[in-house]
Amino acid sequence: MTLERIAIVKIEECLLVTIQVDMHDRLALTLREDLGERLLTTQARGVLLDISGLDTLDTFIARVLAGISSMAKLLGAETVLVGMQPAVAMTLVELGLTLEGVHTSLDVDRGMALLKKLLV
Amino acid sequence: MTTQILKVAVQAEHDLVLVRQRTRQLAEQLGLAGSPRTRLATAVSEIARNAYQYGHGGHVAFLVESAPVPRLLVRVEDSGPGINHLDEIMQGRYRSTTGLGLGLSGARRLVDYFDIETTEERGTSVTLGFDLPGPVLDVQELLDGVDILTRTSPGNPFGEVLQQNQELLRAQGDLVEVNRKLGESQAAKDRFLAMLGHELRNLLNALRSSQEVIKRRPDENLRRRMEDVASLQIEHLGRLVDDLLDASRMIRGTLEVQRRPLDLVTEVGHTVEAWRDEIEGRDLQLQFIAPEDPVWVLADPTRIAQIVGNLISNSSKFTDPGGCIKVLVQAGETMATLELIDDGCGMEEQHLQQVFEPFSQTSEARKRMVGGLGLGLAIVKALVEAHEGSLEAHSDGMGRGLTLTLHFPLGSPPSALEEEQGGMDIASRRRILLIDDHEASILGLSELLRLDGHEVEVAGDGPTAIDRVSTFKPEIVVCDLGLPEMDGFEVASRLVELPHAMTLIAVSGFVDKASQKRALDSGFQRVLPKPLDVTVLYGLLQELAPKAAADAPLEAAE
Repeated sequence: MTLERIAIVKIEECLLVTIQVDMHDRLALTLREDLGERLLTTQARGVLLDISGLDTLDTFIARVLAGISSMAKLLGAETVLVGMQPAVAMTLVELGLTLEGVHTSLDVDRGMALLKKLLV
Repeated sequence: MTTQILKVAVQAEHDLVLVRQRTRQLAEQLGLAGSPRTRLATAVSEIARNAYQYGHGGHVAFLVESAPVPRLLVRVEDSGPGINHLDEIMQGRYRSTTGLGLGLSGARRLVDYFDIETTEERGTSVTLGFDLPGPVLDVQELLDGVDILTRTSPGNPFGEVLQQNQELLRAQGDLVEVNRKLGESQAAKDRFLAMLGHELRNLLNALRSSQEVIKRRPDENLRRRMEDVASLQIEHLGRLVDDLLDASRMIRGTLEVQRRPLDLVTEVGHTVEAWRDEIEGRDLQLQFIAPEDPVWVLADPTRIAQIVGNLISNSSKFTDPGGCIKVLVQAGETMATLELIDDGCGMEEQHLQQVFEPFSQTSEARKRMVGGLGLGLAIVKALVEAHEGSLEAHSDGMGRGLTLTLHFPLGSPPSALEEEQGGMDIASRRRILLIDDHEASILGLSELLRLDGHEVEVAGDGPTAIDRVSTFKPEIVVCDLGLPEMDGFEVASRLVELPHAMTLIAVSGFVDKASQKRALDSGFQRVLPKPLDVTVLYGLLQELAPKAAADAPLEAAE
């Protein structure tokens, strides 16, 4: 289903991904692929993943997000995850998921600031 | 007490999203705060994903329990192959190759109650329990809330837009297809109108020119020929209009048939005879092949005549002079077969499917300028289907003739009662004497009259006829005027001398005022033109005095 896509927006040398819907599994995987391609074509060096619209984050989606971060790293880009709801964060901890190696930040502004620092 | 509130199927990936949403919505209704809602939805999502991914799909049931503590239970069941290494997984030691291995053990940590049953045969059932802040006071209210939930959309704007997009795409696809079909039928109608105009103009031209010739007071011979031309055109016009009306009924689905038991052999035989002159006039052979015994079907006699007529007419258009048209009637085990075989121009296989389409004419038809509207066979198809029959066309290719095969379900012969009701009532049955030296020309008519319950006798000349009258005592005599030796006028004047009263009807190929007057003077009550139009004769039979009065002298009856 080609209609279903999470939008990826390029801002300066960063790609901004805002997840506003509860993603089904395939959609999350499609996002990972799309992002990989966009990193190649745009030569972007940073990825900002805004998950403020997600009120449920289970192990599968969390794993995909962590995977996006690792993939971006291999493609020469840093990833910052922003906007995680406190309840989601608590649930992740309880699940035993720590999203190791993924930079996180409270909101988009701080995330951008963090990215800029990482890209210096 | 445990009450089931809702059940959601998990058959596709999207269903997981729905399950998460339903869990959150239900949790909210049950008074769970944001954080517990997230934990619950996450746990349910983990288990439901397992059911989808490993258990080949299943369902999620939501239940509320009032004792021992108010609790929401979510039971996820699948019919998959069960779970190996369950203990390792539950202890968090197992690392799956497909996931992080945290689904089951993680979900267990998120909930207040956890139970799992897994067998190879019956699949896996996981029950998650979540303690509620207070007892569920009004289960009905909860059920009503769920009812609203399931009736409203999942509330995912993206999903909704997506679904609407897909529906729009489908609708667009449908519209494109409808548009294409409309275009095709528009083109067919345009062609049809052009053909209709052409046909009507041809008829009009022929009528107009014959009228012009008659105006100029030509000799008797030419005038008669022109009149023949005119009647032929009028007959043709009549058929054209009938076809148009039938086509219109066919399109509106109001084509009606009045079925009664009839013998296909007799019925088809009549129609073939009625067409014989016209077909043989075009230097074509017309053969009728049928079994001796009747073939009973449940059919409308006028429609059968129309079917056979259309078939013969169609074949005659595509068969060159010297060719042959065969009409066959056969009885099979359950079906009667009516077959029309010609050795005409035939057609390529790819055109065979189209022959029964309305307004369709093959390029061959246009090349031959056979005229007609391309409706005949379409009407045949509609009529055959109205008789619960079927039909097919076969040709070995161009120049190899065409075979049209029609099947009708076999019926049973009419019972005596049906015959009484279906035929005419006794009061309108008549004794009819037909007098004509050309025996073949009255054979069809006599059969037809007999079929309808009349008593019919036939005489080939005047003296024989006069003999028969004394024994047969006919009520009606139909006499050809052009008899050899003793002509019709003399026969009539002899018959009126007899004590037995009867209605005399003259039939003549040349009816002018003088001969008409002479016929009436000789004792005929009516003069009908030849060839005899059967419907006119039938009208006359209806018109005549009822049988009760027929025994009395005719003058008295009038």
